[in-house]
Amino acid sequence: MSETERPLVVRRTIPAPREKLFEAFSRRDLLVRWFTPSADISVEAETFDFVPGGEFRLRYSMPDGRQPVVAGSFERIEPPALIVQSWIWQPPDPLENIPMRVSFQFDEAPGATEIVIRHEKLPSDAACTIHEDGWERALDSLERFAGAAHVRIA
Amino acid sequence: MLATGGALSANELRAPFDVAQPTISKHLKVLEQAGLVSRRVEGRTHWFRLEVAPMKEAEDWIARHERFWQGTLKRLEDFVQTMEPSETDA
Repeated sequence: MSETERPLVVRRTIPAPREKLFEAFSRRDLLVRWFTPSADISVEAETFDFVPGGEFRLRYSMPDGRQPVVAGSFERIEPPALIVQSWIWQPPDPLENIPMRVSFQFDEAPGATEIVIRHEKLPSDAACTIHEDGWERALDSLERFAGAAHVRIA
Repeated sequence: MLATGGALSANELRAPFDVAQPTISKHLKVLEQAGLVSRRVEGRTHWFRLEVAPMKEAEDWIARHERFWQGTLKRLEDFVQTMEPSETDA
């Protein structure tokens, strides 16, 4: 575990032109009709300013009544090829206030579009300023504790 | 040690290392501030316990979002099939 974690990458090839797919991401009225992980979860776009630097705030409604909220801003918009946005789950959430970034890349494929989603956790200010020695040192010492424990019980 | 032994004192934690007490205290303080260990004070003894939840959580973010994005892309594929051609002209 380190501060520079590898991003999560998810891909899917969809038989549609990338302009059409890009539009499904860029229009609020279209986005709210599909931008959830399953049909029993709905999403409401409380804020959706699809311009570079514009902010978004999405409220999901889960079948169990929970309503996770994610917010952030659009960092890059390059139609119809790329969308990069910050992605921060809002309290209360197990991942609340952890700065993340998500990019959606639209690549042309024969008769289709490959969408590549990259999701990464960014170094947080809290972790960087937590101590002059920094997060890495904390994890180094944790590793040494773990290593010592291993030697001791062996 | 913390991973296997429950709560340990600062002196017990220092034993396997060739380092001074202030150095260990400093490391423990970093881990404590990061939420990775918790501290309980009894008289002059400081007991430390490993907090597993934050580390588990850090690993879990990938699993959570992998399902999230795979599901979302499946939904997108279904959705674009229902999009009217006129909707793409807007």
